[in-house]
This record gives sequence, C-alpha cells and structure tokens, in this order.
Amino acid sequence: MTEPREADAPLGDAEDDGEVTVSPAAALAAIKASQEAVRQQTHPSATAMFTVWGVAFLISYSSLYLGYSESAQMPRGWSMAVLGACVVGAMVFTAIHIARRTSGIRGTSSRVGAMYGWSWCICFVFAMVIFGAVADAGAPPLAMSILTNAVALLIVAALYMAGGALFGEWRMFALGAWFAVVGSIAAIVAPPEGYLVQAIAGGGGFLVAAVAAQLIERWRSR
Amino acid sequence: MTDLELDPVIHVQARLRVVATLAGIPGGDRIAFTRLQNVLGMTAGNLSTHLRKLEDAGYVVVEKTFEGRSPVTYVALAAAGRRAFETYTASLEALLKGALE
Repeated sequence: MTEPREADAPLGDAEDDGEVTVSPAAALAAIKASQEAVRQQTHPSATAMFTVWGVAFLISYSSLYLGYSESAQMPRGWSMAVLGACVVGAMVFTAIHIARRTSGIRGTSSRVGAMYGWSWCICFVFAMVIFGAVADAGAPPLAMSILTNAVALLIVAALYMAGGALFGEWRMFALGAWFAVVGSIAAIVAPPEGYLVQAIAGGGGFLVAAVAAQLIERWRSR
Repeated sequence: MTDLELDPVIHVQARLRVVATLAGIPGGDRIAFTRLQNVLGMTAGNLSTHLRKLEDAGYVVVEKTFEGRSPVTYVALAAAGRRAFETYTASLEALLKGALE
C-alpha cells in the first residue's frame, strides 16, 4: 500500500474553492465532525426539553398539592392557574425550539413530526371532552381530580412511548413507561398526595432524563 | 488499496463536508440551501460550486421551488450519493486499517 500523499491537516471551515484533498484520517475525522454538527443543529435538544418539562411538572404539581382544598376536594383556582401557565409556557418553548431546530428541513421527518404534534393536540381535546362529559354525569370533585390527572398522564405516557418507537429514542420510551408507573401510583394514592407523587416522581423523572441526555451528549461528542 | 481509489468527487475537503452533512440528515428529508450553508459555515458561492459538481455526478438532488412567493432551493443526497458516501467511508476505514497493519 502507498502512503497517502496529502497533508494530515484537519478540515477547517475555511473557504476553499479549490480541490483540496486530505489524508484518510483527517477525512474520517471531518465526516464525524460534520455529522455531529448537523445532528446537534437540526435535532431538538433532549436535555433542554426534558429540563423545561421537568421544572414545569415540579412547579405545577407542587402548587396543586399546596393549593388543594380539603373541603372542596379539588385544587384552588390559583393553583390551577399555575398549572395552566406552566403547561402553556413549556408548550410554547417546545414549539419554538423544535421549529428553530428543524427550520429549512422538509420531507419525511417533518410530516412525521407534524402528525406526532397533532396527536398531542387531538388527544388533549378528546380528554377535555371526556372530563366535561364525566363532570356533567355527576362525578364528585375527588373523582374528577383523579380522572383529570390520570387521563393527562395516560396521554403523556402513551405518546412518549409512541414517540420513542417513532424516533428510535429509547430514553423517550423509558420516560413514557415511567409516567405510566407514576400515573398509576398517583391515581391509587389520590389527591392531594397523588399530586406530590407526580411533582417529585414525574418532574424528577424528567430531570433525571435531562441529566442522562446531557451525559450521553458529552460522551457522543468526545 | 491506495488512496487513488477514493472517489475523487467526494475526496475533496469542502465536498466531503457537504456530503457528510447531507448524509447526516435522515433519508427522505431535504434541506434548504440557506440552512445547509448555515450548518456548514460556507459562502453561498462556494457551496453552489460544490453542489453543482455533486449534482453533475448524480450524488445530490437540487430542487428549486416556491414557498409562498419566495423561491427556495432544497438539497438532498441522492441514492447514488448515499451509496458513494458509504463506499468512500468504507474505503477510508480499510485504508487506515491497512496503514496500521
């Protein structure tokens, strides 16, 4: 075998209109760097999303726990407002983050992503309809508190697991399975302690996943 | 195996980065020219020149379209380009392995 004739220089971002070739080692390093760069710039950050949702869960369910009225057997208005603000805030962050990362990319993944996004939307509208119908049928406030929480977490668990399967993300699947466990426990424990379970185990689950995602990211880009 | 066997279309500093970046985008997806330029940190003229050579080799598909009233150019790796890139990577690995032995 002959020795490569080119300089063993790393590939930089310098402009080169000419036909500059490189050594095999530098070429392989450039391939790895390019693919890592495109992955980091066009994929949503699991760390950022898990952190935002973890904090949203922690704050909103803690406030539902603290704002629970034993006499009314449901959370007080202010704690529901905190929940609403946290969910809307996290949703806006998610939408902007994904839109920015995937901007300028069209094709199969944007179609899959749009269908996945609409699944969340449709499922939660469906859940609202169920809650309204069950309340109209005369369900007591405690039963409504258990139902609203359990159904919301059922959707999160199912769509996270489906998302894990769809995007080949085992962390997302594991998080979905964890939410199925947390949601089941929270339903059995019942409010207000059930909210505490969701704040700590649900929010904590997201934060543990965020740390794991960050460690994997560091290990990958080494 | 010698380095002469490496695909000359890909084995050029700038085009290698373009092809590797396009190969890093999931199959079935295409990327806007301006976004690709941004990811690569290349000038429009430089990127156009290299894309034309890759297109001439049948390695990339360049599609000009309109989004609303603005013209947008999308770029994707063609099946032949993906195959060529895989062959190129395998050749590089074989070359390095040979060099170590």
